[in-house]
Amino acid sequence: MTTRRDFIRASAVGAAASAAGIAVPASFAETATTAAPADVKWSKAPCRFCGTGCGVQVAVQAGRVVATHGDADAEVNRGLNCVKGYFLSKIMYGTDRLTTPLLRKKDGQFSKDGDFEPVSWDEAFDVMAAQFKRVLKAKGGTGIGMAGSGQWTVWEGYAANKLMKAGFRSNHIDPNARHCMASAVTGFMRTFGMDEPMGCYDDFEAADAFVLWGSNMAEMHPILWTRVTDRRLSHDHVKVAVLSTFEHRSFDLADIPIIFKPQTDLAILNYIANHIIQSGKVNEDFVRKHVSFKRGNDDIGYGLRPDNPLELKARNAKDAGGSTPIDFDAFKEFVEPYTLDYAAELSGVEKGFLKHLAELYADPKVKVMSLWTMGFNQHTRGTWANNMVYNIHLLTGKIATPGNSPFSLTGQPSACGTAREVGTFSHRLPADLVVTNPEHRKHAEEIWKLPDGLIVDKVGYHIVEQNRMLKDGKLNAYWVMANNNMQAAANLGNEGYPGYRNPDNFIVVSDPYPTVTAQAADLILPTAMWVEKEGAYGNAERRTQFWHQLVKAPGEARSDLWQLMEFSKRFTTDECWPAELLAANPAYKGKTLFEVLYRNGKVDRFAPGEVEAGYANDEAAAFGFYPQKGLFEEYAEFGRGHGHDLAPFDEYHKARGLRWPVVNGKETRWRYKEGTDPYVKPGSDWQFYGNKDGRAVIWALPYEPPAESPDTDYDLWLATGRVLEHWHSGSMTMRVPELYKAFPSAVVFMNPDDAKARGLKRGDEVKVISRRGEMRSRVETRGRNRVPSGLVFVPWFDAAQLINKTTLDATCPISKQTDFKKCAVKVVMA
Amino acid sequence: MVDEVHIASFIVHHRPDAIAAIEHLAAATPGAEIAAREAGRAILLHEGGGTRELLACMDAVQALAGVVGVSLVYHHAEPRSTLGDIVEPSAEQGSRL
Repeated sequence: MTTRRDFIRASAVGAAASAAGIAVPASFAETATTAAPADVKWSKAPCRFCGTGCGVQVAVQAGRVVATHGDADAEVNRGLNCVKGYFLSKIMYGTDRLTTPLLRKKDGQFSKDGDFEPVSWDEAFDVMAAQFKRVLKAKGGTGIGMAGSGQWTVWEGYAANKLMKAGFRSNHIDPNARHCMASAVTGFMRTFGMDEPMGCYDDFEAADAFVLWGSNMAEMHPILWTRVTDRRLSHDHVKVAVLSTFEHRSFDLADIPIIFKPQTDLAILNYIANHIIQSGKVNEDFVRKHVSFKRGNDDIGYGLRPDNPLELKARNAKDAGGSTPIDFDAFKEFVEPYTLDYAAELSGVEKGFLKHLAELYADPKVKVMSLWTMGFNQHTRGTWANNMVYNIHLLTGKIATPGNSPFSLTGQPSACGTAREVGTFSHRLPADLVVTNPEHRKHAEEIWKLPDGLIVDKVGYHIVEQNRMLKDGKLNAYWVMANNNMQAAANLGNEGYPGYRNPDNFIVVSDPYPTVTAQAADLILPTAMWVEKEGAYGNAERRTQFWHQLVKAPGEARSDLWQLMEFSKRFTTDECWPAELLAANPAYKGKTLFEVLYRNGKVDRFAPGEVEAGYANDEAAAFGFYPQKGLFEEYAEFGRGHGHDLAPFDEYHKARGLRWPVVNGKETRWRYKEGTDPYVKPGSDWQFYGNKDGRAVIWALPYEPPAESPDTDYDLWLATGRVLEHWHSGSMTMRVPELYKAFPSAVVFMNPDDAKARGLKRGDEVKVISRRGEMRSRVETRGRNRVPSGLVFVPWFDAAQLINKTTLDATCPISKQTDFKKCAVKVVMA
Repeated sequence: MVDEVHIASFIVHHRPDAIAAIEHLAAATPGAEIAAREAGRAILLHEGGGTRELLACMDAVQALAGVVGVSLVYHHAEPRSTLGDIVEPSAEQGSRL
């Protein structure tokens, strides 16, 4: 006889054994089958936290998510879950969940200095539309902006992109993903002419060496880290190198542990290239056939405001992305000064470690997977760092084959799928098209069935610039969706907050929770999240994953998709488009934006009845058609036949995700390589078809110092980042009691010697002060992050301790991504 | 407050020489046991009164030298009162509650 307790224990062990690839012990094996209770329904969904894209099983009982566990059928995580994923079921049920629109009011009227009061959706949208129309009348679309997200579902990002770039004729739409992987994008575009990794997670089981460049995978991508760990611990020859400016949990597995001085990763990268060349390990055949060389402009400034002295004295601040073609010999000469001695001196790293690292890359027998996240991307030379790691893979031909894989990891669940592939950046259109290219604009207008010349040809404000333009009064109607940018953006006291509270501006924030950003707004719209709506995400390995709506959103909360489409009904083309454009295209005159954008015969062509039986779809019910399917199929037109092929909509509800390009029903694991990528011409072996000549570019780029370094007044480096239990700004995870308790408030990780020198001890309350602002926190000298003398690390999840009051809003001048890893601070007793 | 029992399993990835420390910790932690092990991996089964105990156990394992990762796989919670009920083996295959 089996009790429920026996059964549950056996199920728990069975699931873990199967996930670990261990035989289920006989003592548990017998009890592991029974029927699921009829009132619980399990469905698949991707986790909504990081960019790994783990599959989870979600149990719904009586309209509520009651449990989640790792999906054993999901290739990404094979049944495992990290702590964040494990508590997924609780993110929707925080006690302060927003359930009704809230508007700042005084005496019954909207007032910028009023207090938040609950209002109906009608009143919320009436006031919001009136404000947007005021701005449209005064400035046209250029006064309207939107901050979006890598957490938008694919169709939400796509619908937003259409509303902004076509409806309001404003390119001032940019995702928070700008903060997280813009440098990865510009790196890909400059080297390969096409975004996103060529390899995939299958590389984890094929590589002989893993090199972490500025990534703490153990804490930030724990499920992928288990795959690295498995490979390392079960194969003696496998080596792991971890590079960082401080010691973190990933160092536990490191064979080659490297702590380098901030910014000197650039010198290390060039040293490796030099080592490969000097030791005769260049793969000459590969380089001759598949590579070209360019020298990038140097002295490009730091992406600060144009009147900043650092920008004024930078020679190429206005042409940061410029370049001149060179050849192999010129590249060889360029990296020659980056000797082992020079790299060791600049970086402060022991020569033995540097040489060992360089040899992993140089040795033709060692298959290397390079992995990076914010250490590279949040870097004033982030684009360069990305280009430079591709350099060393290209010199050796270690690319696009199993285990040879330069791999840019992402932080958000759909940074790739929505922000990048849908093109919700201020310069982009779907499938790598850009607003500055007339052919691309025309192509988008044709797919969207909109008049020729509608899309504006100038790059819009990126997300850092948006805060500056709000402050300067150039952007006046602003909609923030699925991000917490007031907390996330650098230098918030001087740029972000004054912009939101500028009396000329109307700020709308759509969020499930009253974040710091929501509280700085004029109107808060309550948002449905995750399985409260049908969704699609794209993860870091080009895998597109779908889920169904499983529960209803609480109260009046509505999905971003519903909000975007419903709001568009309140505008006509006459209010948004120039008269001459309408005169030339009279069929569009007098139509609402809803009609021309979403009732265009494509987006609305699938009936609500096509929603899979057994699942709700609140948007299909509201609009009378199946908008997710229509938007997806219209969007997919951009990529099909152009190397970004997506499968038919319904396939994704069946599969555990598919990696694009999906050609003839088959996903692609390694791009650019004959045999695994259907787009590569037979006989060419490798073909980097994102570039017209089919070659990838090796870039000659120097080491240049950071925007700000410690000096006598501000004597410490500040690096910011995440901790495992919290995800980004903590707006969701801080609401899960278990996670909150595990790491209740941010601390300043400090070297014990530095603490002692300042008369501080563990637990002391301190002020972290920079030239821009200060915050209070407590000293931590022990624990999981061990920082070297001269550097402090502060996690940024805690809304009560806003470290971004101190950070510098310097960006990579090419990608416009902020460097949150380097600025100068001092720490004093509070 | 309902008196709940939480049963969870997790996989511990570790360097081979860390297994003794993991075994020692499991033996010293009420409700914890090593259910299975193989080179570099161990499955820990934990039964306790709440998620807090579970997290404490995970943290303790994670803090051991040589442990490189702890991943949760399965978690179930239900009132203590129903745990002793008899389950009829079903013809239908399905391992989920």
